[in-house]
Amino acid sequence: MSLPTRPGDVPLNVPLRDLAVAYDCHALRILWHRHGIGDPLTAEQRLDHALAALAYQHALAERVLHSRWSIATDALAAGATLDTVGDAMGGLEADTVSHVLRWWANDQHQEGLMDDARRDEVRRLADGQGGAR
Amino acid sequence: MTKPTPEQVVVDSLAALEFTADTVRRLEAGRWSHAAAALTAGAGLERTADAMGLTLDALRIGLASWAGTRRGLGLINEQQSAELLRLASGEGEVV
Repeated sequence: MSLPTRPGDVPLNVPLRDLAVAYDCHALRILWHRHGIGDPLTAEQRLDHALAALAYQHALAERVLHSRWSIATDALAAGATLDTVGDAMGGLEADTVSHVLRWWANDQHQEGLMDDARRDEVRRLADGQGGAR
Repeated sequence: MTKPTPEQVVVDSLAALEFTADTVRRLEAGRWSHAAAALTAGAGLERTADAMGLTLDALRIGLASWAGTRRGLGLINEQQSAELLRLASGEGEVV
């Protein structure tokens, strides 16, 4: 299989672990070259490894981020606050969590991935009307 | 398997979100270095931007910003900073 040169070249069914290993492999080859470890790479090899690292990196980040709004919704429904969820998401403001959650729910609804009741439930959570606790 | 309590769901969900944020932060920490490696090896701005899922402008701005940050932190010297800015401008592209 040829190396990916863009994120779209990475098949969607590659397991997350394999994506991480592939990224690490290409990133390490560049790092080793930079620090004179192992056989030096030709310009063509550096180019191939760098583009593959970037493509795997983007695909990996996309995969990891894919379900985060769904997880945020689970946390809110179980009683977490918007502030706590924002902190867990890397320091987002509560207003940002609320705003993006509403946008996400509308987008999912428009794509037919979320029914009316579920969208309204997510909107309620985005308004800070939390769940179980 | 018993149904998790709401408290468990909160703990597990927040842990998953923290892991996600941390993973992406670590991934992004290396991306500009890889972009510089690709450009130095002759990939050109367009191919590099494609590999990063970015527009050309986003690549130029991001790379120049990264160079400025590294220069400001003393991680690279003036010459290395100038080289990164040259790459960001598209100069020296292999046609």
